[in-house]
Amino acid sequence: MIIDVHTHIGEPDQKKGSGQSAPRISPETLIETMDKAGVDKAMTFTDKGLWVYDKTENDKIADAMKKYPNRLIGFATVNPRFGQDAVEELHRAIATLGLKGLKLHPWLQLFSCTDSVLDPLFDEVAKLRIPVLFHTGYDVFSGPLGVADLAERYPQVPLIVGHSGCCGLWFDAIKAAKRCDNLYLETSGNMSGAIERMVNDVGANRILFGSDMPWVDSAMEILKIRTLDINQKEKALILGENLQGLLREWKID
Amino acid sequence: MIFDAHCHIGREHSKSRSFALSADELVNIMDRNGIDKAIVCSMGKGLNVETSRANDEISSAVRKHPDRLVGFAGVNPWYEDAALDELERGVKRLGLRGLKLHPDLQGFPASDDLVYPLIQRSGELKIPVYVHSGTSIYSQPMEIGEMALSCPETTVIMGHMGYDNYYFDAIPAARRSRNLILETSRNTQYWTIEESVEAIGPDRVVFGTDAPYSKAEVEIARIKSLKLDSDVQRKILGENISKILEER
Repeated sequence: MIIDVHTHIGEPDQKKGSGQSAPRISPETLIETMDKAGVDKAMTFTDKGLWVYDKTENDKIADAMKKYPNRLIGFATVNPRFGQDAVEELHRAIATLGLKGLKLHPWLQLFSCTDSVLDPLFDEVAKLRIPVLFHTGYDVFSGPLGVADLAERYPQVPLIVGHSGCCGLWFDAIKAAKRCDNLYLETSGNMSGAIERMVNDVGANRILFGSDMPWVDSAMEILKIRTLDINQKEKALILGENLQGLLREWKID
Repeated sequence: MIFDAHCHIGREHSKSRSFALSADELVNIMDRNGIDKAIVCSMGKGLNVETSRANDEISSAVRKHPDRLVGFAGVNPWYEDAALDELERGVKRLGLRGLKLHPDLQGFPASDDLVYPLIQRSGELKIPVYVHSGTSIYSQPMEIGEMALSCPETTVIMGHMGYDNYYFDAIPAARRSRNLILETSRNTQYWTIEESVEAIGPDRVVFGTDAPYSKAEVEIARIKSLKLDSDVQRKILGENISKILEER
């Protein structure tokens, strides 16, 4: 069982990536790639919706999920800077469209996790009882310790630390996860050595496999987990068993 | 032939977070993965404050495995003239064949004049300079490009191709300076490796593993998964770095 907690879909506008940007992929291509790599299910988000606030992107993710109900778990995105409008859009995305969680990108959406601008949105997140996945890294606004601050303010909300601070801040992701039980560390892009440290310091049961497709090749990300110096049970937990349990806990399965 | 352009041996520091790898362990990894040769440099403390000790250590690792390992010296630019002397000792007396710099760890902007005497001297000594890129903000690809432009006689290898948040500047930097080489370890934005061959040609991209931070299995599989002609793949996996070391 492999579940990928981090993928993006959009409208393909080029055949392959350039030096500057990833190839954008359709839901169909995502499913094909999952089949090839042996991935059973994936959480999927918009790509474009992270850099422009376009609510129709949530409708597109919902459409993809309806087309592949057993394979895709759609997450909404909203821009917290839009205040009450963002709260209402999140409510619509979850209650009306049936999306299952929220993806936020502090760098592209221009907010810090420590900013009170998030409060109205996270009051709604807590009411809706949904998980939230954050992009983290060393880019501006994206340090994992900022997510820890938010996790302490909303201890009932499960927060997934996307990329676990990749790159350069994997050690802060470990510090954050040690402080907050509601934080989960996600593996995409991060170094093998760093993930071995996370398993050692935080435990495999708090680590979730993600690929960040199409920015990253999911087959390579799976190979990365399989070649870690950890035991088979820990690999199985990271690749899918942890998330399978969490989906039940979050009432998403 | 597979020639790994970037590995570390030694130990970062004495605390539990430290990464560590011995020369014998590295050769073992190479054997398991069909890697013929590897460039090794130190790590952590050895690149930063205990460079003489670390250079001796690299040199004895190379003497122990002369057919498998090529050593790069580590010196800290903040020591200025003493750093130049240590580089000279590393190359002329210890037989080291390149310089490794890590702006993030050593605490200097890659574009700072502080480091230029070392880059210049490396050109005179006919050795390539490997510079870590990506993390942190002082290791931006465009800064390393600036470094290469300032010393056109020195071959500069950009480690990790901007991994990962600065991947988009790796090719533009290499376009500006013909003496800049891109090294692939940890570059998860795999398509930029294909694109770099198109943009700057097949001779300026070199494969590395960054052991022990990344795994040889994954790094080799990534190169083999790319849509590249087999002669280009061979160049990236070993021929290019081999030629760079011969020429210099």
